[in-house]
Amino acid sequence: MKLIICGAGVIGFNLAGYLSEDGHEVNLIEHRQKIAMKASEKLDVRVITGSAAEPSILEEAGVAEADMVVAVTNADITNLAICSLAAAYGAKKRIARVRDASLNDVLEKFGMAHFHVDGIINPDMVAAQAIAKVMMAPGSREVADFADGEILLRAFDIQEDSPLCDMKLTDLSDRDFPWPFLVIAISRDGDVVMPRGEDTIQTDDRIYVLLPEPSLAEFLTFVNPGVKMPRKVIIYGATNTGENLARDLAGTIGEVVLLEENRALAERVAGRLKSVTVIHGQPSEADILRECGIEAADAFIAVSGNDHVNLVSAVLAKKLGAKTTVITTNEPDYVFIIGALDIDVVINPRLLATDQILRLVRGGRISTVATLSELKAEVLELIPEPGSPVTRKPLHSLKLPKGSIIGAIRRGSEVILASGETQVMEGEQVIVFCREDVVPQFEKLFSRKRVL
Amino acid sequence: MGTTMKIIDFLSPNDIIPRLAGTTMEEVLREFAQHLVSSGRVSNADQLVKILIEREKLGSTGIGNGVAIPHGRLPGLKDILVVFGRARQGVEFHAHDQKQVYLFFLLVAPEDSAGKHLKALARISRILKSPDCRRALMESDDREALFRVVSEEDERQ
Repeated sequence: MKLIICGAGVIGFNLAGYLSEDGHEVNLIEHRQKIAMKASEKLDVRVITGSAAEPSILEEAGVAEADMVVAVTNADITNLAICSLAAAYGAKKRIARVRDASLNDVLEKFGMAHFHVDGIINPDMVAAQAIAKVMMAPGSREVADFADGEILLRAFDIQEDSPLCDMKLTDLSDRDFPWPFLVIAISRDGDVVMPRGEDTIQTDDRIYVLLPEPSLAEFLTFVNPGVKMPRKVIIYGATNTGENLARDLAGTIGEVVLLEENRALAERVAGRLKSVTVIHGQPSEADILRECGIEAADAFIAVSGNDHVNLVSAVLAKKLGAKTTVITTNEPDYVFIIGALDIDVVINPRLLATDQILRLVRGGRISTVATLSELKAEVLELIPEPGSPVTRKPLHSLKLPKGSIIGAIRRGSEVILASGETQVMEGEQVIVFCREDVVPQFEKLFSRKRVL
Repeated sequence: MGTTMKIIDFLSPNDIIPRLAGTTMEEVLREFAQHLVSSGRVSNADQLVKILIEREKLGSTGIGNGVAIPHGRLPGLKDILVVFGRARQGVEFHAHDQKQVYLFFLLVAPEDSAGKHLKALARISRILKSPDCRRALMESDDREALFRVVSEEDERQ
C-alpha cells in the first residue's frame, strides 16, 4: 500500500516505523525541520519537510495515488483539513486524530463523511478506556482486548505471595477447567521468555496472559487471592481523559474523586459530572491528597497534561497510602524509569492511539494490534483467508516464525485456547503473539498464495 | 498427567445438603458456611461468606446449565473442602447463561494452592458437564442417593 502519514510526532513516527516494517511504501510529512531530520535518520521511509495542509506538499507526497492518508499532526483542525484535501485529490481512505471533545461531538452528530474522514482516533478516549479496563482487572499492568472483547490480554506482575509462584505451566492447565487461561509470554529480568509447559512462573515475573472474558475474574484470584474490586479511586486532572474516566468509573465504583488544580475548570467539570466528588487543589500537596482520602484509595490515577506532575503526585500518593498508582505520560521513554519509581501502571495515550491506527490501516486480515514495546513484540488478531497456509495443518506441524505463538481462536461463539492439536479454520479470529519483525511472515501464513 | 483427581477424595456423604433453603446468593453461601462451621472445619462463617461474596463480585461462578461452583481461598486451611448443595427452588446467581442455579458445588481451598485448586474445579466442572448426571442430581432424593450419583459419575469419567 501507498501511505501518507502527516505529522512525525510520537504517533506519526511510531506508525511510520511499524508500517514500513510491514513492507508498505510510507511517505511521512513533517513541517518542523529538526523532527523531520530525526525521522529520516531513524526510519526507512520517505520524509517530506513541509506543512501537510499545503496542497503542493500533499502533491509531492503523491496524494492522488495514496491508498491511505493518516493525519496525526498536533492540531485537530489541520488534521481534518488534510483529510478534506486528500479526499479532493482522490486518496482512497483517510484517518484523522481529533482530541477536542466538542469537535468529536460534532463528528459523531453529523457523521465523519461530512469531513471526508473514514476513521477518527482520539488518544484521550483511548487512554480513558484502557485505564477503566485496568481498574476492572485489579492487579493488571497492561491491557488489550481482542475478538470484540471476547478474548483479553492482560499483564500481571507476580509477587512472592501469589499462588502462581513456582507453579509449572502444565500444572496450571486442564481442559476441564471452567475458566481457562494461557500464559503466552513472560518478561523476566529484561528478557522475553516464551514459556513451555515445564517452565515455572517466578517472583517478579511480568506474565502476559490470554483469557476468554469469563476467565478474567478467576485468574485475578490466582495472581492475588485477596483481590477486590476497587471501592474508591482518585483521579488527578480534569482533562478529557480524566473527565471521561470519572464518568465511566462512577457507574461501577462507589467513590470517585476528581482532583483539579484549576479552579474554573474544576467548577465547570463538577457541573457536568454526577456522583463524582470534584476537589480543587494541587496534587503535589500531601494535605490536599489527604483531604481527598488518599489513605483509603484503591487507586490514584494521574492523567493531567503535565507528565512531571503526574509522576510526582503518583509517587506521593503511593507514599500516603494509595494501593495502586496509574499515570499517563506522553514521553515513551518514561516507561523505562517507572520501574524504579514504584508506579504500577503507565499508560501512553499516543502509543495506544498508534495501536488503534495500526488496526485501521492494516485492516482486513490484521484487525487488532497491541504493541508491547518493552518486549519488542506485538499481539495481532488475524483472520485466515480460505486456503491460507495456516489452515492446512494442525499447529504442531506448522512452521511458525521464531519467537511467536498462536494463542487463542474465536470459533463461532466459543473461545479456544490453542494447543498443538488445534487446527485453525478460515474466517476465525486468531490471536497471535510475535516479535515485531515477523509480522509480515504472519501475514503470509494467513493469506492465500497469490503467485503459484 | 491429565485429570486424576476424584471428587469423592474430597466429598463425603455428610457434606451433601439435599435441600438448601436459601433463595438468594448470600443466603445460599451462608448455609454452606454454617454447614462447615457446625462440622468444625471452619471457625468463622462470616469470614468465609465474605470471601465467597468477594469472588462473586469479581464475576459469577455460575457456569451455566443450572450449575455454580462458588469457591474461595481461606487462610489457615490445611486441605481442600468440598460441599454439594441443591436448591430445587432455583437461585438467581448471575450465571453466564442468565439461568437460575440449582446445583452448587462449594470449594474452599488453602490460600497458597493453585494447582490443586484448579484441578478440583476442573474435576467438578467435568462431572457436571454430563446432562444425565445433572438430571440425576436434580431427581435423587436423599444424601446417600446423591452421593451415589456423584461417585458413579466420578468412576465413569
